[in-house]
Amino acid sequence: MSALLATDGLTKTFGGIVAVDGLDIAVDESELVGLIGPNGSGKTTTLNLVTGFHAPTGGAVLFDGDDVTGMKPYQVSKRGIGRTFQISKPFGRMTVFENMLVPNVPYGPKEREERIWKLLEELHLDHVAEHRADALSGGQKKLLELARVLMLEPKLVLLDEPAAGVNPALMDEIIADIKQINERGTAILVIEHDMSVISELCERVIVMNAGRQVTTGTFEEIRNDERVREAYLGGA
Amino acid sequence: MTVEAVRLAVDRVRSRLREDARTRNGKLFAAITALAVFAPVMFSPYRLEIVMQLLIVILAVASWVFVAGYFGMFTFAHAALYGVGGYAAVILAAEMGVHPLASILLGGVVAGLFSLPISYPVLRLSGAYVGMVTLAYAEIIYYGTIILRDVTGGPTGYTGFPQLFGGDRVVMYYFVLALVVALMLAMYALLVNRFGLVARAIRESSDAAQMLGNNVPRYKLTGFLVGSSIAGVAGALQAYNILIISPPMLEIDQMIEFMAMGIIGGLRTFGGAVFGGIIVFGFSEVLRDIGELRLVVWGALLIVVTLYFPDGIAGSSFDVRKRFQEWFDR
Repeated sequence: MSALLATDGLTKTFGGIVAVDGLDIAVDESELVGLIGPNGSGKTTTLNLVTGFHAPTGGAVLFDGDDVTGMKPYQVSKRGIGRTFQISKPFGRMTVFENMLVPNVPYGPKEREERIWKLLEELHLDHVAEHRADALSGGQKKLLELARVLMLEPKLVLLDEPAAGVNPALMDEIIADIKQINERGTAILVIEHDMSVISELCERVIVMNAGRQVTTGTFEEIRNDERVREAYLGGA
Repeated sequence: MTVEAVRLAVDRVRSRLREDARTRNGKLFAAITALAVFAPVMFSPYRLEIVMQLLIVILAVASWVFVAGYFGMFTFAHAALYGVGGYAAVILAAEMGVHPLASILLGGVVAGLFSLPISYPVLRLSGAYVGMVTLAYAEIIYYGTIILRDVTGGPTGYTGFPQLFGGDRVVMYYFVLALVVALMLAMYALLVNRFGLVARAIRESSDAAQMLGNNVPRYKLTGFLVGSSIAGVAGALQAYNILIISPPMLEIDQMIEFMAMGIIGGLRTFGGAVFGGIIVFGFSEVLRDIGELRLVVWGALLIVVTLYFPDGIAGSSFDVRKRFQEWFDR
Protein backbone atom coordinates (compact mmCIF):
# COMPACT_ATOMS: atom_id res chain seq x y z
CA MET A 1 0.00 0.00 0.00
CA SER A 2 1.35 3.40 -0.92
CA ALA A 3 1.57 6.01 1.81
CA LEU A 4 -1.23 8.54 2.34
CA LEU A 5 1.27 11.29 3.08
CA ALA A 6 4.89 11.19 2.00
CA THR A 7 7.61 13.80 1.94
CA ASP A 8 10.38 13.34 -0.57
CA GLY A 9 13.66 15.09 0.23
CA LEU A 10 11.71 17.94 1.81
CA THR A 11 14.01 20.88 2.56
CA LYS A 12 13.50 24.33 4.06
CA THR A 13 16.15 26.90 4.77
CA PHE A 14 15.63 30.23 6.51
CA GLY A 15 18.61 32.35 5.50
CA GLY A 16 21.58 30.21 6.49
CA ILE A 17 19.65 27.93 8.82
CA VAL A 18 18.51 24.58 7.50
CA ALA A 19 15.30 23.88 9.41
CA VAL A 20 14.26 20.80 7.46
CA ASP A 21 17.01 18.91 5.68
CA GLY A 22 16.01 16.43 2.98
CA LEU A 23 13.26 14.88 5.07
CA ASP A 24 11.64 11.60 3.99
CA ILE A 25 8.73 10.56 6.17
CA ALA A 26 5.52 8.71 5.40
CA VAL A 27 2.14 8.19 7.05
CA ASP A 28 -0.11 5.36 5.88
CA GLU A 29 -3.85 5.42 5.65
CA SER A 30 -5.60 5.09 9.03
CA GLU A 31 -2.27 5.18 10.84
CA LEU A 32 -1.69 7.00 14.13
CA VAL A 33 1.89 8.25 14.13
CA GLY A 34 3.83 10.34 16.63
CA LEU A 35 6.39 12.91 15.55
CA ILE A 36 8.93 13.71 18.26
CA GLY A 37 12.30 15.37 18.53
CA PRO A 38 14.09 17.99 20.59
CA ASN A 39 13.15 21.67 20.32
CA GLY A 40 14.25 23.12 17.00
CA SER A 41 14.42 19.77 15.26
CA GLY A 42 12.00 20.96 12.56
CA LYS A 43 8.70 19.33 13.57
CA THR A 44 6.45 22.37 13.31
CA THR A 45 8.29 23.57 10.20
CA THR A 46 7.52 20.20 8.63
CA LEU A 47 3.83 20.70 9.41
CA ASN A 48 4.00 24.20 7.93
CA LEU A 49 5.56 22.81 4.76
CA VAL A 50 2.97 20.05 4.41
CA THR A 51 0.05 22.44 4.95
CA GLY A 52 1.38 25.17 2.66
CA PHE A 53 2.18 27.87 5.23
CA HIS A 54 5.80 27.77 4.04
CA ALA A 55 6.97 27.01 0.52
CA PRO A 56 9.69 24.36 0.61
CA THR A 57 13.18 25.23 -0.62
CA GLY A 58 13.41 21.78 -2.14
CA GLY A 59 11.75 18.37 -2.27
CA ALA A 60 8.10 17.43 -2.56
CA VAL A 61 4.99 16.65 -0.52
CA LEU A 62 2.79 13.86 -1.85
CA PHE A 63 -0.70 13.32 -0.52
CA ASP A 64 -3.19 10.69 -1.57
CA GLY A 65 -1.34 10.10 -4.83
CA ASP A 66 -1.07 13.80 -5.75
CA ASP A 67 1.78 16.27 -5.59
CA VAL A 68 0.58 19.00 -3.23
CA THR A 69 3.94 20.80 -2.95
CA GLY A 70 3.57 24.57 -2.79
CA MET A 71 -0.25 24.52 -2.59
CA LYS A 72 -1.98 27.13 -0.45
CA PRO A 73 -3.29 26.07 2.96
CA TYR A 74 -6.94 26.28 1.88
CA GLN A 75 -6.18 24.08 -1.13
CA VAL A 76 -4.35 21.53 1.01
CA SER A 77 -7.28 21.56 3.41
CA LYS A 78 -9.71 20.84 0.59
CA ARG A 79 -7.60 17.86 -0.44
CA GLY A 80 -8.23 16.33 2.98
CA ILE A 81 -5.50 17.46 5.35
CA GLY A 82 -6.72 18.99 8.60
CA ARG A 83 -4.49 20.66 11.13
CA THR A 84 -4.49 22.14 14.62
CA PHE A 85 -1.93 24.61 15.91
CA GLN A 86 0.69 24.50 18.65
CA ILE A 87 -0.89 27.54 20.28
CA SER A 88 -4.63 27.00 19.88
CA LYS A 89 -6.27 29.42 17.53
CA PRO A 90 -9.95 29.48 18.37
CA PHE A 91 -11.90 32.42 16.94
CA GLY A 92 -12.09 33.95 20.41
CA ARG A 93 -14.74 36.60 19.94
CA MET A 94 -17.08 34.16 18.26
CA THR A 95 -19.22 31.53 19.97
CA VAL A 96 -18.26 27.85 19.87
CA PHE A 97 -21.13 27.24 17.45
CA GLU A 98 -20.01 30.07 15.16
CA ASN A 99 -16.49 28.61 15.24
CA MET A 100 -17.95 25.40 13.86
CA LEU A 101 -19.56 27.29 10.97
CA VAL A 102 -16.22 28.57 9.65
CA PRO A 103 -15.00 25.33 7.99
CA ASN A 104 -15.79 25.52 4.30
CA VAL A 105 -17.94 22.44 3.72
CA PRO A 106 -20.35 21.80 0.87
CA TYR A 107 -23.40 20.93 3.00
CA GLY A 108 -26.66 22.83 3.14
CA PRO A 109 -27.52 24.67 6.36
CA LYS A 110 -29.59 21.85 7.86
CA GLU A 111 -27.07 19.09 7.33
CA ARG A 112 -24.30 21.40 8.48
CA GLU A 113 -26.10 22.09 11.73
CA GLU A 114 -26.71 18.39 12.36
CA ARG A 115 -23.04 17.63 11.85
CA ILE A 116 -22.01 20.46 14.15
CA TRP A 117 -24.18 19.19 17.01
CA LYS A 118 -22.99 15.63 16.49
CA LEU A 119 -19.33 16.68 16.68
CA LEU A 120 -19.89 19.03 19.62
CA GLU A 121 -21.57 16.20 21.51
CA GLU A 122 -18.78 13.76 20.69
CA LEU A 123 -16.13 16.19 21.86
CA HIS A 124 -18.07 17.23 24.99
CA LEU A 125 -18.59 20.80 23.85
CA ASP A 126 -22.36 20.83 23.33
CA HIS A 127 -23.03 22.44 26.71
CA VAL A 128 -20.76 25.40 25.86
CA ALA A 129 -21.98 25.85 22.27
CA GLU A 130 -23.24 29.37 22.91
CA HIS A 131 -20.20 30.44 24.98
CA ARG A 132 -17.57 32.68 23.50
CA ALA A 133 -14.54 30.61 22.50
CA ASP A 134 -12.07 32.76 24.47
CA ALA A 135 -13.96 31.83 27.65
CA LEU A 136 -13.11 28.13 27.23
CA SER A 137 -10.39 26.33 29.20
CA GLY A 138 -7.11 25.43 27.50
CA GLY A 139 -8.25 21.85 26.95
CA GLN A 140 -11.65 22.85 25.62
CA LYS A 141 -9.95 25.16 23.14
CA LYS A 142 -7.92 22.20 21.87
CA LEU A 143 -11.11 20.15 21.57
CA LEU A 144 -12.82 22.96 19.69
CA GLU A 145 -9.94 23.12 17.22
CA LEU A 146 -10.21 19.39 16.72
CA ALA A 147 -13.99 19.55 16.27
CA ARG A 148 -13.63 22.35 13.72
CA VAL A 149 -11.11 20.36 11.71
CA LEU A 150 -13.33 17.26 11.76
CA MET A 151 -16.13 19.24 10.09
CA LEU A 152 -14.01 18.94 6.94
CA GLU A 153 -13.93 15.11 7.20
CA PRO A 154 -10.20 15.04 6.55
CA LYS A 155 -8.30 11.90 5.57
CA LEU A 156 -5.34 13.03 7.66
CA VAL A 157 -5.22 15.23 10.74
CA LEU A 158 -2.00 16.87 11.90
CA LEU A 159 -2.04 17.70 15.61
CA ASP A 160 0.58 20.11 16.93
CA GLU A 161 0.98 19.48 20.66
CA PRO A 162 -2.60 18.61 21.59
CA ALA A 163 -1.55 18.09 25.23
CA ALA A 164 0.17 21.43 25.84
CA GLY A 165 -1.63 23.49 28.47
CA VAL A 166 -4.33 20.89 29.10
CA ASN A 167 -5.26 19.82 32.63
CA PRO A 168 -4.65 16.12 33.37
CA ALA A 169 -8.34 15.25 33.78
CA LEU A 170 -9.21 16.54 30.33
CA MET A 171 -6.02 14.99 28.90
CA ASP A 172 -7.42 11.46 29.23
CA GLU A 173 -10.53 12.60 27.43
CA ILE A 174 -8.54 14.13 24.59
CA ILE A 175 -6.45 10.97 24.22
CA ALA A 176 -9.60 8.85 24.07
CA ASP A 177 -11.12 11.22 21.50
CA ILE A 178 -8.03 11.11 19.29
CA LYS A 179 -8.03 7.30 19.43
CA GLN A 180 -11.69 7.17 18.52
CA ILE A 181 -11.23 9.50 15.55
CA ASN A 182 -8.38 7.31 14.34
CA GLU A 183 -10.41 4.11 14.77
CA ARG A 184 -12.97 5.50 12.33
CA GLY A 185 -10.27 5.54 9.67
CA THR A 186 -8.73 9.02 9.88
CA ALA A 187 -4.95 8.97 9.81
CA ILE A 188 -3.31 11.13 12.47
CA LEU A 189 0.17 12.58 12.81
CA VAL A 190 0.75 14.03 16.25
CA ILE A 191 3.61 16.21 17.48
CA GLU A 192 3.97 15.95 21.24
CA HIS A 193 6.55 16.52 23.95
CA ASP A 194 4.69 14.56 26.60
CA MET A 195 6.05 11.03 26.14
CA SER A 196 3.25 9.44 28.18
CA VAL A 197 0.81 10.77 25.61
CA ILE A 198 2.95 9.47 22.73
CA SER A 199 3.37 6.03 24.28
CA GLU A 200 -0.35 5.74 24.93
CA LEU A 201 -1.48 6.98 21.53
CA CYS A 202 0.92 5.98 18.83
CA GLU A 203 1.48 2.72 17.03
CA ARG A 204 4.57 4.17 15.47
CA VAL A 205 6.85 7.08 16.30
CA ILE A 206 9.06 9.13 13.97
CA VAL A 207 12.04 10.78 15.65
CA MET A 208 13.44 13.96 14.11
CA ASN A 209 16.65 15.80 14.84
CA ALA A 210 18.30 18.69 12.97
CA GLY A 211 15.67 18.57 10.25
CA ARG A 212 16.05 14.87 9.48
CA GLN A 213 14.40 11.62 10.42
CA VAL A 214 16.65 9.86 12.94
CA THR A 215 14.65 6.67 13.13
CA THR A 216 11.13 5.31 13.24
CA GLY A 217 9.52 2.42 15.10
CA THR A 218 7.27 1.53 17.99
CA PHE A 219 7.63 3.49 21.19
CA GLU A 220 9.52 0.57 22.80
CA GLU A 221 11.92 0.38 19.88
CA ILE A 222 12.80 4.03 19.79
CA ARG A 223 13.05 4.27 23.57
CA ASN A 224 15.98 1.90 23.52
CA ASP A 225 17.58 3.39 20.44
CA GLU A 226 21.00 4.90 21.07
CA ARG A 227 20.56 7.49 18.29
CA VAL A 228 17.38 8.82 19.89
CA ARG A 229 19.09 9.27 23.22
CA GLU A 230 21.90 11.06 21.47
CA ALA A 231 19.44 13.39 19.72
CA TYR A 232 17.89 14.41 23.01
CA LEU A 233 21.00 14.48 25.19
CA GLY A 234 23.59 15.46 22.61
CA GLY A 235 26.25 13.14 21.19
CA ALA A 236 29.13 12.20 23.48
CA MET B 1 -23.87 31.68 -6.78
CA THR B 2 -27.00 29.69 -7.42
CA VAL B 3 -30.55 31.02 -7.04
CA GLU B 4 -30.96 28.81 -3.99
CA ALA B 5 -27.87 30.33 -2.33
CA VAL B 6 -29.13 33.86 -2.98
CA ARG B 7 -32.53 32.97 -1.51
CA LEU B 8 -30.85 31.58 1.60
CA ALA B 9 -28.71 34.68 1.95
CA VAL B 10 -31.73 36.97 1.65
CA ASP B 11 -33.63 34.87 4.22
CA ARG B 12 -30.70 35.18 6.55
CA VAL B 13 -30.65 38.99 6.17
CA ARG B 14 -34.38 39.12 6.88
CA SER B 15 -34.21 37.00 10.00
CA ARG B 16 -31.18 38.89 11.29
CA LEU B 17 -32.90 42.23 10.66
CA ARG B 18 -35.91 41.00 12.64
CA GLU B 19 -33.62 39.84 15.46
CA ASP B 20 -31.51 42.98 15.50
CA ALA B 21 -34.56 45.26 15.40
CA ARG B 22 -35.54 44.02 18.85
CA THR B 23 -32.22 44.93 20.48
CA ARG B 24 -31.39 48.26 22.11
CA ASN B 25 -29.30 49.29 19.10
CA GLY B 26 -32.05 48.24 16.72
CA LYS B 27 -34.62 50.42 18.46
CA LEU B 28 -32.22 53.35 18.47
CA PHE B 29 -31.59 52.86 14.74
CA ALA B 30 -35.32 52.80 14.05
CA ALA B 31 -35.68 56.10 15.90
CA ILE B 32 -32.67 57.63 14.11
CA THR B 33 -33.95 56.51 10.70
CA ALA B 34 -37.41 57.95 11.42
CA LEU B 35 -35.77 61.20 12.45
CA ALA B 36 -33.70 61.20 9.26
CA VAL B 37 -36.78 60.67 7.08
CA PHE B 38 -38.57 63.67 8.60
CA ALA B 39 -35.48 65.86 8.86
CA PRO B 40 -36.40 68.18 5.95
CA VAL B 41 -39.66 69.23 7.64
CA MET B 42 -38.15 69.40 11.12
CA PHE B 43 -34.89 71.18 10.58
CA SER B 44 -33.83 74.56 9.18
CA PRO B 45 -32.00 74.48 5.84
CA TYR B 46 -28.71 75.02 7.65
CA ARG B 47 -29.32 72.10 10.01
CA LEU B 48 -30.38 69.94 7.08
CA GLU B 49 -26.99 70.56 5.45
CA ILE B 50 -25.33 69.33 8.61
CA VAL B 51 -27.49 66.22 8.77
CA MET B 52 -26.61 65.50 5.14
CA GLN B 53 -22.90 65.75 5.88
CA LEU B 54 -23.38 63.52 8.90
CA LEU B 55 -25.12 60.85 6.80
CA ILE B 56 -22.24 60.82 4.33
CA VAL B 57 -19.66 60.65 7.10
CA ILE B 58 -21.54 57.72 8.65
CA LEU B 59 -21.30 55.87 5.33
CA ALA B 60 -17.56 56.55 5.12
CA VAL B 61 -16.99 55.40 8.70
CA ALA B 62 -19.15 52.30 8.17
CA SER B 63 -17.06 51.36 5.13
CA TRP B 64 -13.92 51.71 7.27
CA VAL B 65 -15.43 49.58 10.07
CA PHE B 66 -16.27 47.01 7.38
CA VAL B 67 -12.56 46.71 6.52
CA ALA B 68 -10.83 47.47 9.84
CA GLY B 69 -13.37 46.18 12.35
CA TYR B 70 -14.48 43.00 10.63
CA PHE B 71 -11.36 41.89 8.77
CA GLY B 72 -8.87 43.54 11.11
CA MET B 73 -7.16 45.30 8.16
CA PHE B 74 -6.40 48.55 9.95
CA THR B 75 -6.08 50.81 6.92
CA PHE B 76 -5.15 54.49 7.05
CA ALA B 77 -5.81 55.00 3.36
CA HIS B 78 -9.57 55.22 3.67
CA ALA B 79 -9.85 59.02 3.81
CA ALA B 80 -7.53 59.26 0.80
CA LEU B 81 -9.71 56.84 -1.17
CA TYR B 82 -12.79 58.76 -0.02
CA GLY B 83 -11.11 61.82 -1.56
CA VAL B 84 -10.18 59.93 -4.72
CA GLY B 85 -13.85 59.01 -5.16
CA GLY B 86 -14.79 62.66 -4.78
CA TYR B 87 -12.21 63.96 -7.26
CA ALA B 88 -12.94 61.21 -9.77
CA ALA B 89 -16.69 61.83 -9.71
CA VAL B 90 -16.64 65.59 -10.19
CA ILE B 91 -13.81 65.55 -12.73
CA LEU B 92 -15.59 62.87 -14.77
CA ALA B 93 -18.80 64.90 -14.67
CA ALA B 94 -17.25 68.30 -15.40
CA GLU B 95 -14.61 67.41 -17.96
CA MET B 96 -15.80 64.23 -19.62
CA GLY B 97 -19.52 64.83 -19.69
CA VAL B 98 -20.43 61.83 -17.55
CA HIS B 99 -23.90 62.12 -16.03
CA PRO B 100 -23.43 63.37 -12.44
CA LEU B 101 -25.46 60.49 -10.96
CA ALA B 102 -23.40 57.93 -12.86
CA SER B 103 -20.24 59.77 -11.84
CA ILE B 104 -21.01 59.05 -8.16
CA LEU B 105 -20.92 55.31 -8.78
CA LEU B 106 -17.87 55.68 -11.02
CA GLY B 107 -16.19 57.57 -8.17
CA GLY B 108 -16.62 54.38 -6.16
CA VAL B 109 -15.15 52.31 -8.98
CA VAL B 110 -12.11 54.57 -9.30
CA ALA B 111 -11.55 54.49 -5.52
CA GLY B 112 -11.70 50.70 -5.74
CA LEU B 113 -9.09 50.74 -8.51
CA PHE B 114 -6.89 53.03 -6.43
CA SER B 115 -7.07 50.55 -3.55
CA LEU B 116 -5.61 47.77 -5.71
CA PRO B 117 -1.92 48.85 -5.61
CA ILE B 118 -1.86 48.57 -1.80
CA SER B 119 -4.10 45.52 -1.60
CA TYR B 120 -1.10 43.26 -2.25
CA PRO B 121 0.86 44.34 0.85
CA VAL B 122 -2.32 44.77 2.91
CA LEU B 123 -3.30 41.17 2.21
CA ARG B 124 0.06 39.84 3.27
CA LEU B 125 0.94 42.05 6.23
CA SER B 126 -0.76 42.35 9.57
CA GLY B 127 -1.15 44.77 12.45
CA ALA B 128 0.97 47.91 12.52
CA TYR B 129 2.58 47.12 9.15
CA VAL B 130 -0.77 47.49 7.39
CA GLY B 131 -1.06 50.88 9.10
CA MET B 132 2.38 51.99 7.91
CA VAL B 133 1.94 50.94 4.29
CA THR B 134 -1.52 52.46 3.98
CA LEU B 135 -0.43 55.67 5.73
CA ALA B 136 2.41 56.09 3.24
CA TYR B 137 0.03 55.47 0.34
CA ALA B 138 -2.47 57.98 1.75
CA GLU B 139 0.28 60.61 1.91
CA ILE B 140 1.24 59.93 -1.72
CA ILE B 141 -2.36 60.47 -2.81
CA TYR B 142 -2.70 63.57 -0.63
CA TYR B 143 0.39 65.23 -2.09
CA GLY B 144 -0.69 64.04 -5.52
CA THR B 145 -3.85 66.10 -5.27
CA ILE B 146 -1.77 69.15 -4.39
CA ILE B 147 0.91 68.69 -7.04
CA LEU B 148 -1.29 67.64 -9.97
CA ARG B 149 -2.69 71.17 -10.21
CA ASP B 150 -3.92 70.78 -13.80
CA VAL B 151 -6.14 67.85 -12.94
CA THR B 152 -7.18 68.51 -9.36
CA GLY B 153 -7.02 72.29 -9.05
CA GLY B 154 -4.16 72.05 -6.58
CA PRO B 155 -4.29 73.23 -2.96
CA THR B 156 -7.38 75.39 -3.44
CA GLY B 157 -9.38 72.45 -4.65
CA TYR B 158 -11.75 71.75 -7.53
CA THR B 159 -15.01 73.63 -7.98
CA GLY B 160 -17.40 74.63 -10.72
CA PHE B 161 -18.82 71.19 -11.45
CA PRO B 162 -22.57 70.71 -12.06
CA GLN B 163 -24.92 70.52 -9.10
CA LEU B 164 -27.19 67.55 -8.58
CA PHE B 165 -30.96 67.98 -9.06
CA GLY B 166 -30.57 71.60 -10.11
CA GLY B 167 -29.62 72.59 -6.60
CA ASP B 168 -32.85 71.33 -4.97
CA ARG B 169 -31.58 70.55 -1.46
CA VAL B 170 -34.56 68.51 -0.30
CA VAL B 171 -34.35 66.16 -3.30
CA MET B 172 -30.60 66.02 -2.77
CA TYR B 173 -31.19 65.16 0.87
CA TYR B 174 -33.48 62.22 0.08
CA PHE B 175 -31.09 61.01 -2.59
CA VAL B 176 -28.21 61.02 -0.09
CA LEU B 177 -30.36 59.31 2.55
CA ALA B 178 -31.51 56.61 0.13
CA LEU B 179 -28.02 55.88 -1.18
CA VAL B 180 -26.49 55.81 2.30
CA VAL B 181 -29.20 53.47 3.62
CA ALA B 182 -28.92 51.23 0.54
CA LEU B 183 -25.14 50.87 0.81
CA MET B 184 -25.30 50.35 4.58
CA LEU B 185 -27.86 47.59 4.00
CA ALA B 186 -25.64 46.04 1.33
CA MET B 187 -22.71 45.86 3.75
CA TYR B 188 -25.02 44.56 6.47
CA ALA B 189 -26.26 41.82 4.12
CA LEU B 190 -22.69 40.73 3.44
CA LEU B 191 -21.75 40.79 7.11
CA VAL B 192 -24.64 38.70 8.45
CA ASN B 193 -23.94 36.02 5.87
CA ARG B 194 -21.00 33.66 5.44
CA PHE B 195 -18.84 36.51 4.16
CA GLY B 196 -19.05 38.28 7.53
CA LEU B 197 -18.53 35.08 9.47
CA VAL B 198 -15.32 34.30 7.59
CA ALA B 199 -14.22 37.96 7.87
CA ARG B 200 -14.48 37.76 11.66
CA ALA B 201 -12.68 34.43 11.67
CA ILE B 202 -9.86 35.98 9.61
CA ARG B 203 -9.61 38.83 12.11
CA GLU B 204 -9.21 36.32 14.95
CA SER B 205 -6.80 34.01 13.16
CA SER B 206 -6.15 34.15 9.47
CA ASP B 207 -4.07 30.93 9.65
CA ALA B 208 -6.88 28.92 11.21
CA ALA B 209 -9.49 30.35 8.83
CA GLN B 210 -7.28 29.35 5.93
CA MET B 211 -6.62 25.85 7.27
CA LEU B 212 -10.39 25.36 7.45
CA GLY B 213 -10.62 25.59 3.68
CA ASN B 214 -11.38 29.28 3.22
CA ASN B 215 -9.66 31.21 0.44
CA VAL B 216 -8.48 33.94 2.82
CA PRO B 217 -6.68 36.16 0.28
CA ARG B 218 -9.81 36.29 -1.87
CA TYR B 219 -12.04 37.20 1.08
CA LYS B 220 -9.64 39.93 2.19
CA LEU B 221 -9.29 41.35 -1.30
CA THR B 222 -13.07 41.44 -1.75
CA GLY B 223 -13.53 43.11 1.63
CA PHE B 224 -10.83 45.69 0.95
CA LEU B 225 -12.23 46.47 -2.51
CA VAL B 226 -15.83 46.75 -1.35
CA GLY B 227 -14.92 48.93 1.63
CA SER B 228 -12.68 51.21 -0.45
CA SER B 229 -15.26 51.57 -3.23
CA ILE B 230 -17.99 52.52 -0.77
CA ALA B 231 -15.65 55.09 0.76
CA GLY B 232 -15.23 56.45 -2.78
CA VAL B 233 -18.99 56.74 -3.23
CA ALA B 234 -19.19 58.58 0.10
CA GLY B 235 -16.46 60.97 -1.06
CA ALA B 236 -18.30 61.60 -4.33
CA LEU B 237 -21.51 62.35 -2.43
CA GLN B 238 -19.65 64.73 -0.15
CA ALA B 239 -18.09 66.58 -3.09
CA TYR B 240 -21.50 67.10 -4.71
CA ASN B 241 -22.92 68.03 -1.34
CA ILE B 242 -20.47 70.77 -0.41
CA LEU B 243 -19.76 71.71 -4.06
CA ILE B 244 -16.00 71.70 -3.64
CA ILE B 245 -13.36 69.07 -3.22
CA SER B 246 -9.97 70.04 -1.87
CA PRO B 247 -6.92 68.27 -0.38
CA PRO B 248 -7.97 68.70 3.29
CA MET B 249 -10.80 66.24 2.61
CA LEU B 250 -8.26 63.46 2.28
CA GLU B 251 -5.76 64.62 4.84
CA ILE B 252 -4.65 62.43 7.72
CA ASP B 253 -6.76 64.57 10.11
CA GLN B 254 -9.83 63.41 8.24
CA MET B 255 -8.66 59.80 8.56
CA ILE B 256 -8.15 60.18 12.29
CA GLU B 257 -11.64 61.63 12.58
CA PHE B 258 -13.10 58.59 10.77
CA MET B 259 -11.11 56.27 13.00
CA ALA B 260 -12.18 58.08 16.17
CA MET B 261 -15.79 57.72 15.07
CA GLY B 262 -15.35 54.04 14.29
CA ILE B 263 -13.60 53.27 17.55
CA ILE B 264 -15.91 55.32 19.76
CA GLY B 265 -18.95 53.83 18.06
CA GLY B 266 -17.60 50.30 18.20
CA LEU B 267 -15.41 48.38 15.78
CA ARG B 268 -17.02 44.99 16.29
CA THR B 269 -20.55 46.18 15.66
CA PHE B 270 -21.53 47.45 12.27
CA GLY B 271 -23.96 49.95 13.81
CA GLY B 272 -21.04 51.49 15.66
CA ALA B 273 -20.40 53.80 12.71
CA VAL B 274 -23.82 55.37 13.22
CA PHE B 275 -23.31 56.02 16.93
CA GLY B 276 -19.70 57.12 16.53
CA GLY B 277 -20.61 59.40 13.65
CA ILE B 278 -23.44 61.07 15.53
CA ILE B 279 -21.46 61.46 18.76
CA VAL B 280 -18.20 62.77 17.30
CA PHE B 281 -19.81 64.82 14.53
CA GLY B 282 -22.37 66.17 17.00
CA PHE B 283 -19.65 67.15 19.46
CA SER B 284 -17.70 68.86 16.69
CA GLU B 285 -20.74 70.94 15.73
CA VAL B 286 -21.67 71.82 19.30
CA LEU B 287 -18.08 72.63 20.18
CA ARG B 288 -17.39 74.59 17.00
CA ASP B 289 -17.02 77.80 19.01
CA ILE B 290 -14.17 76.55 21.16
CA GLY B 291 -12.08 75.85 18.07
CA GLU B 292 -9.06 73.62 18.44
CA LEU B 293 -9.94 72.93 22.04
CA ARG B 294 -12.50 70.44 20.81
CA LEU B 295 -9.65 68.12 19.91
CA VAL B 296 -9.01 67.89 23.65
CA VAL B 297 -12.63 66.90 24.21
CA TRP B 298 -12.27 64.21 21.53
CA GLY B 299 -9.14 62.85 23.09
CA ALA B 300 -10.84 62.66 26.46
CA LEU B 301 -13.84 60.95 24.85
CA LEU B 302 -11.57 58.37 23.18
CA ILE B 303 -9.88 57.61 26.50
CA VAL B 304 -13.18 57.21 28.33
CA VAL B 305 -14.58 54.95 25.63
CA THR B 306 -11.54 52.70 25.36
CA LEU B 307 -11.42 52.38 29.16
CA TYR B 308 -15.08 51.82 29.90
CA PHE B 309 -16.53 50.59 26.61
CA PRO B 310 -13.69 48.65 24.96
CA ASP B 311 -16.11 47.45 22.28
CA GLY B 312 -17.39 50.99 21.64
CA ILE B 313 -20.76 52.50 22.41
CA ALA B 314 -22.67 50.14 20.12
CA GLY B 315 -20.88 47.12 21.53
CA SER B 316 -21.57 48.03 25.15
CA SER B 317 -24.42 46.53 27.11
CA PHE B 318 -25.27 49.92 28.63
CA ASP B 319 -29.05 50.12 28.98
CA VAL B 320 -30.32 53.66 29.52
CA ARG B 321 -33.76 52.64 30.72
CA LYS B 322 -32.40 50.14 33.20
CA ARG B 323 -29.93 52.66 34.59
CA PHE B 324 -32.71 55.21 35.05
CA GLN B 325 -34.87 52.58 36.68
CA GLU B 326 -32.08 51.74 39.13
CA TRP B 327 -31.59 55.39 39.83
CA PHE B 328 -35.27 55.92 40.59
CA ASP B 329 -35.49 52.78 42.70
CA ARG B 330 -32.78 53.98 44.99
